[in-house]
Amino acid sequence: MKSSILYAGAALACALGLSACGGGDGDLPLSVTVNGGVTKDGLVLVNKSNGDEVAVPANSAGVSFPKYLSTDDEFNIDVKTLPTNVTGCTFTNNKARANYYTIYTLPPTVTCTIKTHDLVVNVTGLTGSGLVLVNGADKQPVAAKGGADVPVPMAKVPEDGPYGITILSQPDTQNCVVRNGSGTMSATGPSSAPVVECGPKP
Amino acid sequence: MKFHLVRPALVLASSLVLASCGGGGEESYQVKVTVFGLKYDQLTLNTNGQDLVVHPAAKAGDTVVSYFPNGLSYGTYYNVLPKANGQPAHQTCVSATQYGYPREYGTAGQTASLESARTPAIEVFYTCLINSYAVGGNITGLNSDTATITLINGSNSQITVTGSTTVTPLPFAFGNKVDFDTTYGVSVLTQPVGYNCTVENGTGTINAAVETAGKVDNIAVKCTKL
Repeated sequence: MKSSILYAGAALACALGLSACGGGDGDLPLSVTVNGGVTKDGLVLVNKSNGDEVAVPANSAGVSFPKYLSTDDEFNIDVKTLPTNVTGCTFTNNKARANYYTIYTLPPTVTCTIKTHDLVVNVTGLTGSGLVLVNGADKQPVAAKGGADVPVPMAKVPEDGPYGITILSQPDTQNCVVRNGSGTMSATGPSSAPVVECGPKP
Repeated sequence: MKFHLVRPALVLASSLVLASCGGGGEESYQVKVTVFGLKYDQLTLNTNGQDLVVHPAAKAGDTVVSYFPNGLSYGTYYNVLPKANGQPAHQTCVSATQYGYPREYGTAGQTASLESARTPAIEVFYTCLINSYAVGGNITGLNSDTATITLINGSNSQITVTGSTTVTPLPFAFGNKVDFDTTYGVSVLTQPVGYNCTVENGTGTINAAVETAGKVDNIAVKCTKL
C-alpha cells in the first residue's frame, strides 16, 4: 500500500521534471541486511538487474552494493556463490524498484542456513541404567544393551561449530568416562569420534 | 503501516454507525488479552480493580486468549499489568508490542477493534519468555598473561579466556544464558599452550536451586602447567 503511494509520488516527481530520476548514477545505496548464517567467507550476492556484485565477509551484519541506484531502478538480488558451510540462503524484499521505502524502510535481507552434521557418541561396556549424555542443551538418555556398544545419536551440530559431550548422570551401577568429547564439526563429521567408556565404579 | 490507514477508517465507520443510531446506550469495551508462550502456571494480570488469571493452554506454550470479567465504559483509562508476584513460575511475561506500538494501556474506545468496528474491544498482548541464567565459574592455575583457554557449553556457547598472573581465581561466564529446565555441559575445546585443564561441576540442569541462587557459578576449571 505504502510503496504504491511512494511509487506514485516518485512518478509524479519525474513528471514534474526532476532530472535526478533519469537513469545513470543514482544516489540510493543498495544495502542488504545479513540476518545470520554467514560464519565464513564465500557468500557473493549479485544484483541481477545491473550485474553488480558484492562479497559478504564472515559474520557481517550487512553489506552495500558498489553501484548506487536511481529512483525507480529495478533491483533483483540473488546468490552468486555460497560459503562452503551453507545449504542455501533466503531473502526478503530482494526484488523491487528503488525508492526511499524499498531502500531504507524495508531494505532487503538475507538469511543463510548452515549445514548440520550427525554427532554420534559410541557408548561401550554399558550395563547399568540411568546414563544421560548432554551436548550443552541437548540431552540424551542412554539405555544399555547388555554391555554391547550403543551408538547414541545426538542432535545435529552446525558445520564449523563446536561440540562437547559431557555426562549429566552416571549409570546406577557403573562409572563412565568421556574420550574425545569435544571438538569442531567439519564437513566430514566430528574431528574425532566421541566415545563414552563405562566400567566398574572405582 | 496499514493499520494507520485502517484504524481511522474503522473509527470513522463506527462513529457513522453510532450517529445513525442516535447514540443509544452506554458502550462497554471488553478487555481481550492474548498471551504468547505461556508454559507454566500462572500469569495474573490486573486492570481497573479486576484480576485475570491466565493458565497455559492444553499444549503448554500455545497462545491463550482470555477476557477480563467486566468490560470498561468509553473513555476509561486502563493499564493491564502483571500483579505483584503475578508472574508465572520460571517465566517472565512482558507486554508485547503489536502493530508497532504498546497496547497494554490506553483509554477504552481509543482504538477500534481489529476484528470489527461493530464489536468494540481493547486488545492487550503479552509474551512470556522462559527465565534464563548465567553459567560460569572460576579458572585456577592458568598463571600466564598470554595463554588462552577456549571453553564451550556443548554446541550452544563458546568463550575464550586469557590467563592472568595477577588475578586468581579467574572468573568466567558464557555469553548465552541457559533457560530453566535446560541442561548445560562445559568442556575444554582448546587447551592453553603449556597447560592441561580439567573441568569439575561442569554439567547440570537449570533447576529450582539455580533459580534461587540466580546463576551457576560453581564450575571449576583447574589448570596445571605441563
